[in-house]
Amino acid sequence: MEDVPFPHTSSDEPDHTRDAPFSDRSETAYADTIRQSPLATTDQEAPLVSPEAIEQHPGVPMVQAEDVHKRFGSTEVLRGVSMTVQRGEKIVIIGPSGSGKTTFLRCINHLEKIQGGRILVDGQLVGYREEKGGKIVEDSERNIARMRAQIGMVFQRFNLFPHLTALENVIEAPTKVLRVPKARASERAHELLGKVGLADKVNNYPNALSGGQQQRVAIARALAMNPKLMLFDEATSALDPELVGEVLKVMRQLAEEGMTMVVVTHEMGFAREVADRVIFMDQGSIVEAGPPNDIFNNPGHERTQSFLRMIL
Amino acid sequence: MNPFQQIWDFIVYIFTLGGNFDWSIVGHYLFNSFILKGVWLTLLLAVISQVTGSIIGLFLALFKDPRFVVTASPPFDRIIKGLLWPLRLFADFYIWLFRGTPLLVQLIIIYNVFPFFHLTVDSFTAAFLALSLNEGAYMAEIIRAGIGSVDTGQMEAAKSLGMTYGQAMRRIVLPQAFRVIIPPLGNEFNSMMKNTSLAAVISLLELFGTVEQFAAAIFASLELFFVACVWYLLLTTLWSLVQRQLERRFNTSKQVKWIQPPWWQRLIGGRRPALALPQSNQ
Repeated sequence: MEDVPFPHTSSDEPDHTRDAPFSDRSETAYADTIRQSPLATTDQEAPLVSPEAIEQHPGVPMVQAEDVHKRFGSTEVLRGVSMTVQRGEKIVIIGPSGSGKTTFLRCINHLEKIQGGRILVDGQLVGYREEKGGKIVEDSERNIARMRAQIGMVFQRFNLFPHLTALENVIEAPTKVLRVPKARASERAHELLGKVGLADKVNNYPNALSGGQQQRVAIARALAMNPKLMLFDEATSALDPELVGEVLKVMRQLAEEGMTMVVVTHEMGFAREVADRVIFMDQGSIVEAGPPNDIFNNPGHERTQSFLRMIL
Repeated sequence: MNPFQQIWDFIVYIFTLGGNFDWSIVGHYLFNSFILKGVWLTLLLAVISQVTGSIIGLFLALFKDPRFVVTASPPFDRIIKGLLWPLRLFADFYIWLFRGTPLLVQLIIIYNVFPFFHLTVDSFTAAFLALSLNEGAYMAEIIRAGIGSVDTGQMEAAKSLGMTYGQAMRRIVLPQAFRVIIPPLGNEFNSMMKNTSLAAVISLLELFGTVEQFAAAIFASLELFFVACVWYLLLTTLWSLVQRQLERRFNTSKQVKWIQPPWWQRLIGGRRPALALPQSNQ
């Protein structure tokens, strides 16, 4: 892994990394992932995260946002947001509603288009490519889908597929996108659902699961793609208070195993315990950023102080 | 004359329209082989026109979807993206045209336009074309409504897992949209079976056409139209039963997956479906 060339933003270079196009990804690649990872054992202590997901271009930040601007019509929602997320770092973004934190999260995997700036995930431009002449144009559907497959996202409203069982939800993407054989994908899905504590609910449809259980299935579904980055969009905001704990437990386990996470949340306790850095956003820009102790105990900015006063 | 006899005479008078309605003709022609052929043609025409119309409608609905993307590699993706707006325009024009003119007029025009291009077209093909094209315009709106009824979060979740628009539509959105599409689709097929009668004007011998021929031959239009009504009612009633079964099947929200026995066992009614319980592997 020493001789990694500096990642280009052009897409005509053949890709030799794990992020190779799906057609190059052989059937055995995913199977090897399972064989090599501790998940191959039936050890209950085995991690949720496969080691392969963690080793990428070391030295290149996992997420790099440079002066991101976004408008919805005439309203400017993101005004020059710049931030860097290192490999294995856990970032928690907090802020009042309308501050653009969810929008920024959605820009990271190109669920929203941006009008200015760049976002790079693991050194690769997301959603856009550079044409000859340096012009930045929107990327093709296939390339965007490829990038998105390496980024996992968990939504506030779970967005489970209601016409599929929990197991089918989890194997849907690996079988259809990565073309993993169904047996392998089912095996992995059983493991993941077991790890999140839903081994007895694999054949239930989402309408037979509680909110917390649905969100845990959603997390397992995102993890089934072996992403190198996980995005959490207010994952516990739509849950009853007594169900929040079980989801936070899974998120905490994920964090401990070294997954790079960007979390938008209102759960300050979680932020304090798990975050490496807390970022406070307000009205489309980053007001303050720092380790949780600094932000929560010694907020510098006036706006941070008033927000924390309201929340805590 | 006793009152019962009077009442009976009155009833007979009503039901034979004062002797002008001959029920024996009805009985004679009800299962006539040409009539049955006509029924079969009606059913066949209705089914293939509805299927083709639905496919046309599906594509039109997709063209009109603002999220529609054609998956292609660079540099073609930019080219195709540029072609999307004329496609959308075409879809709007098509729907406006085919919903805005009567089906009968479309039928006659399509039947008569082919000789100008030195092509011959038989009535069945012309009827199939006209019915499909017309149905496509209506199905487009129905399917669009069905797609719109699916939560946008579904498409977003599918995309965030790395699915392309096409995959997400096929595997996630359209299966859910189908539940909303069934009732109006049932309605449309019902109309379709009856609209095939219009093809009689371009001399297609479907049910109504056949009946008309007989009526002209034996000067007994009322009795024969009654025969036609019986058959149309039979077809539409059978369809409404099928539609109800379809709706029931797609509306029950399942809680747990059932393992069905193989189809042949289900047919002979051998096994009951079993609950799919997870195997304990640890």
